[in-house]
Amino acid sequence: MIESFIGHSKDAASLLPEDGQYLVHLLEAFSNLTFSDTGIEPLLGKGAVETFNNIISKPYVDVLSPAHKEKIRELCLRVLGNMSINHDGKQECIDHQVVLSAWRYLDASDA
Amino acid sequence: MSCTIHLDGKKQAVKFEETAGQPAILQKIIERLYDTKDTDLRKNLRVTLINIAELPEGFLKMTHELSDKVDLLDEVFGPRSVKSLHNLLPKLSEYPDPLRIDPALCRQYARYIKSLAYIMKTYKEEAAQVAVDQTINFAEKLAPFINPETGLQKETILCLREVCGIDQYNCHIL
Repeated sequence: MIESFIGHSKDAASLLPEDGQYLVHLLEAFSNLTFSDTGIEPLLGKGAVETFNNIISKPYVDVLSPAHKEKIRELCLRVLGNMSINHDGKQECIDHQVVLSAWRYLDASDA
Repeated sequence: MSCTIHLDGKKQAVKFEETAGQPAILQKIIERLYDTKDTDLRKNLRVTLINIAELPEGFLKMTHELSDKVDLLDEVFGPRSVKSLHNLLPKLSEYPDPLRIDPALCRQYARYIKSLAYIMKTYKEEAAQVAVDQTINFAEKLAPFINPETGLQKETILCLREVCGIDQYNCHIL
């Protein structure tokens, strides 16, 4: 699942507009799976955090429909939040400086 | 929030600036804490600030940002803020003339003194105990503001009365 997600979203070349709904489905699964360490661990060391961070911080996601883009970024933030509770997940978030991307969404957090 | 448990996460949050001297992340967290009524979000923002305050530089920067929002300062740090408010004031030796403080600097320090007085008035002995245990020469830093020209005489006396009331050493310093 995570390899497929990264393969379809890691950069502008791999992200296609028609993949929006597929990515939403995968992220909804990740957001449920990452409630426990057992679900977080398979995502570690594979570039998942880097991809989630790219999605919330880089403009290449603009190729998606506004609704998909917003939902995908919201879910990426949720998954990153879940992963950062785990010790190794937190370290990956620190290494990729997720703090410096995520704070920009504080404005939207009542939405 | 979770990332700020980690030392490097605290540093990332504290050091990030888009404009020189403006800690953008801390300012945004405080801005949201100021304007949101969402209970869960408020709790997360408060915990984030408390996590970041474990880094002394973060505690000082946040105290500066919160010092003109004293209700929030109280909500987040309570009597602990006595330590950082006091640290933000200059030492006596740093003034060219402690009897004549530059009016522009005095306006900057006024927010710290007023917040300090609010916390002292609210927590009394508990706040005074923080001053005694966690600051050095509390009375010395406050002393220049006894000068009526600063307009901070009332607040300064309130702080000194609380601290000197429980500590002979600060009486001696004063």
